[in-house]
Amino acid sequence: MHDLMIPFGPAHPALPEPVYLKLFLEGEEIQDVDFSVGYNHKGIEKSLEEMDYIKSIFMAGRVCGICSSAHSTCYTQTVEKLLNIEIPNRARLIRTSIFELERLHSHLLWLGMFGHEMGFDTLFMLSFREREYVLDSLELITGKRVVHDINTIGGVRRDVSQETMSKVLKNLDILKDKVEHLQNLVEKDPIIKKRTVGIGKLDKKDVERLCLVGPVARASGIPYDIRKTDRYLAYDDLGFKIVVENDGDNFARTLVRIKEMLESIRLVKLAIKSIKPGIIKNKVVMNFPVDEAISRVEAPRGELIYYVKSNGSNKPARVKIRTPTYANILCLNKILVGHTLADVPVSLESLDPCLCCTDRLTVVRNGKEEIIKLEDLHGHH
Amino acid sequence: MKLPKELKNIGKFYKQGKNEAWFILPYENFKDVIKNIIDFGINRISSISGYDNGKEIEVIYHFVKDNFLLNLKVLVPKSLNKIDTLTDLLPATFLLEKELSEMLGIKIIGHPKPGKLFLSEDWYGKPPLRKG
Repeated sequence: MHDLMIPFGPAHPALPEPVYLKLFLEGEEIQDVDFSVGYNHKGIEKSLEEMDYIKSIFMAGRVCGICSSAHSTCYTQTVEKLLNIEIPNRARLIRTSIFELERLHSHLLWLGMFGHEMGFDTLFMLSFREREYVLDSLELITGKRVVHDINTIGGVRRDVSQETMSKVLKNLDILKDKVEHLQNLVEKDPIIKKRTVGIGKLDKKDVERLCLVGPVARASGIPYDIRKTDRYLAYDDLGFKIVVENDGDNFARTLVRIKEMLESIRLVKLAIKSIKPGIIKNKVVMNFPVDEAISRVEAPRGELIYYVKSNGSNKPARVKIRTPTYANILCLNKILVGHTLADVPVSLESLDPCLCCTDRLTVVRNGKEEIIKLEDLHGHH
Repeated sequence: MKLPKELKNIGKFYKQGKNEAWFILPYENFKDVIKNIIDFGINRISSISGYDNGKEIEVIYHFVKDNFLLNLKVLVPKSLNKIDTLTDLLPATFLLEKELSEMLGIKIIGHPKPGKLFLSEDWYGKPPLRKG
């Protein structure tokens, strides 16, 4: 028996999104952790089955607000695999730029939140200020700051002008200095080190056993990155370099994300510079075979995988999404047990949890078997 | 990476793609086959998909080794409506199996903590992703 059970969440000042942790304590030390999710359940997988392939790309982009383009790119990539089509080189480079810009905004948002959890609000302010350069660039290219909707089957929906490209390159030059400043700040600050070094340790074996993904795996010395293994989009041509750290603690996870930001800046600059004139979308015959396909991308939080089954109609028969936080949340026990209650927000944030992604699937109203149809959500019955 | 020779006869091969292979495994001894595959070194599971095709529930285990995806389909007859757990071999399937169970209404035999994942505990009615 444990001394005490402290509930953490579902609504907690340290959590921007709802998750419920049961923390079993003896004194200040955590002995065991239990968690429950599902407070953010939106019914996306079911609603994807009710839309045609073009509309469902927009729905896939709304699984999550932070990694919107990761979801829509992965979904589009899977549907393109079903149809067995390629996309033009220009579209490939535009998709890669948006994808990496999104990673930059996600990691900067995370760094801010991470600082905030430690009580280091200056880092939060700085990080969110620098994030504006990325959001401005995304707005210049796609017209939107957060949910970009740039993908379509066979290419992208919007072209990039020469003027936009030079503005984005200028923004990235400024951002590079700012991120280097943040890196310097994080690496040298004694308080950040005290709160993170040696806390929430995950060794290689745990990562392999629990099949963890993304920066969490790479901070424990596992070079697992879909950009490297699958060589999708333009990553192979751009010479992507993988970032790996070996300590596996909260500090290592911080370093991986910061170094990834610098790599992302390099990739976007190179991608934009290598964009050549050409078409942005191939003509597509929407003739879906009875088939199934699977595809994955490296979202800001790790491996994102989509399975799409087609029954020959213009709507997918089944879409299954496995998001990175869904895989990573299993290690909560490993990173929290043995540490104190005060370390919970920092360690939890070090996973960069995205519960919007984790909770998807079917909508249920008042616990009854009624399932909300898409038409109801649109308001015309 | 290509499909290793040793794995060519694990089940009924039905589809090949670039860096991926798809098999249908026999329902009776699929767990033994998966154990062999794990022992062979393909020990990372990325996802489990489920689909109701009318007669059966298709359960697909998506294994990963570097850039190679090994997709193993098991057809669960609706009359039986149950499947063995893999949590003893792969702890990473803990949540995936719970989700499969609540969304498609299959019983997972031997799951260490059965129960709802996303749906509320007092939820009743048809499993949400069952067709018809």
